[in-house]
Amino acid sequence: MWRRSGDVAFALVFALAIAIEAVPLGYLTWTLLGRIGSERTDGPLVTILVGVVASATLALVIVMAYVLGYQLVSARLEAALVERRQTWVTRWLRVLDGSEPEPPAPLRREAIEALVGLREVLRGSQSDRVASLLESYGAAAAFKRAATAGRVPARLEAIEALASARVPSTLTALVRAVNDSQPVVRVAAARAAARTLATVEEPGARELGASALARALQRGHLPVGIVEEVLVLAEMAAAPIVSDLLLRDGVPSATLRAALDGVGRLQLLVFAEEVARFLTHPDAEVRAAALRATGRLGFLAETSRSAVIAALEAEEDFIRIHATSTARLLPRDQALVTLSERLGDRSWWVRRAAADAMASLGAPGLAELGRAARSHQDRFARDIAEQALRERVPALVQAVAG
Amino acid sequence: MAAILAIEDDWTVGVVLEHTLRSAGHDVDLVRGLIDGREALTTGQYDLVLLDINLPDGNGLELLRDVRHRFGRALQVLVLTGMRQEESVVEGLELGADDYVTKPFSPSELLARVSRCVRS
Repeated sequence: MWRRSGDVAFALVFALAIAIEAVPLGYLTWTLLGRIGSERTDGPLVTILVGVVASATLALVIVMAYVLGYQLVSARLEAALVERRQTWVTRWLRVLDGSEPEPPAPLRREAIEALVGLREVLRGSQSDRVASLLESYGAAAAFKRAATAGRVPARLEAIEALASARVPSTLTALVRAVNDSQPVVRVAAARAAARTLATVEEPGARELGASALARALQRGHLPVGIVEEVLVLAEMAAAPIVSDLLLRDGVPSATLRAALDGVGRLQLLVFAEEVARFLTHPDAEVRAAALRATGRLGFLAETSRSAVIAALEAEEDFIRIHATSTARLLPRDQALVTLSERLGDRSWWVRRAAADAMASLGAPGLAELGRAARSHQDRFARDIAEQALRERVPALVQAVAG
Repeated sequence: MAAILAIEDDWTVGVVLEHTLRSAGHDVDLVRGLIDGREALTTGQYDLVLLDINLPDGNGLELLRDVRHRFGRALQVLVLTGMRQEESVVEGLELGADDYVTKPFSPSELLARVSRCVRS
């Protein structure tokens, strides 16, 4: 509920607020009751008033008692639950090291939670054993059932448990949930599926799972950031997912962008040629993602140079920015000339990208920046070149003087 | 066998650390935050500190800095970090951590690293 922190302060404020209401109402009730008993009674109106005031007081007192009771009881219940879980964690650890037999089924909820917690904490053979235990006790199947039907909060809880459990047999159900009608379920399922896929080690099974997840991502129309997160979470399975997305027709441009950014971020050099195909994609955002990916990979094939050079003249600033950063991968002389020209671009961001790209080329780039700072025909180019050089002075001094 | 102070706020990780290290014959004190960790270091004597980076009351690297200031290299420190926290690992090693363990971890790997730290 609200009780995350500051619960004592909250309880005190709540009690004070209710008391401010309840005490005067109680006093009023008492006074009016006295008047009913006396000779100066005002008839049924006072009786009704007394009833209303008394019931309001009672209601406030009940609410206060409930909230304070809840505070007290829930804190104790939570502490007891944590203690039971800790006991179960210790017990499971003994099971794992063979000093205690496996407990009989069915397991209590905290026993399952402890097992799921251990799956998150442990790595290697013991973690695999925990996954087998989750399967053999039927916990994985129960989470799978809960994840696919029922109320959304319960489904999300089950999907979260499956994400922690990462039991390969639940992958199909999770992939199916990536195309659920509820967007929040789709997102949670995509993350859980990626984490589960990361634990699938058999190459054939991994490729099949990756292909299924890629298809689901394509149909699920998930936000770019989520698809990128999925690729990171999938770890070794990211490459087959990316491969499927880049090779398939009809993939939404948002998903394509995420796949291309994934190639760059995860340094999947094996896709350098595939990325090059998207340098001339009709969608400008996809072209920009392909340029970014190429820049991050640090590899520009000879056949793709013309696409990068053409992108330097694009109408959209964001394309020119990424093309300029990537232009550092052209043959050195061509890169220096091209980047020097870009120092005079109409966009400050492109000029900045050109200066940074030149500086990244080492001594020749810095020398060219120096020339540009002194004698570039464009005033803005001279300014940005000088600024970039000035920013690098401390590093240069350190490099020279040690 | 060594006297080890484990500073870890996640209760499952804490229980695993305690169980694994005690099974190997080490004495383990487990605390949940920086304040308790500082207090334990003041009152107790340890050979090794297992230090989580992300603690509820601050960054474990602050305590690492204090440890190096107070104890020099006499006290071994093994940093516990999450996956994809390379920057924290690098920062921890630069601040003088003796080694690091990435969560999730294998108990045998943890024991091997603890033994190596204790031996050195």
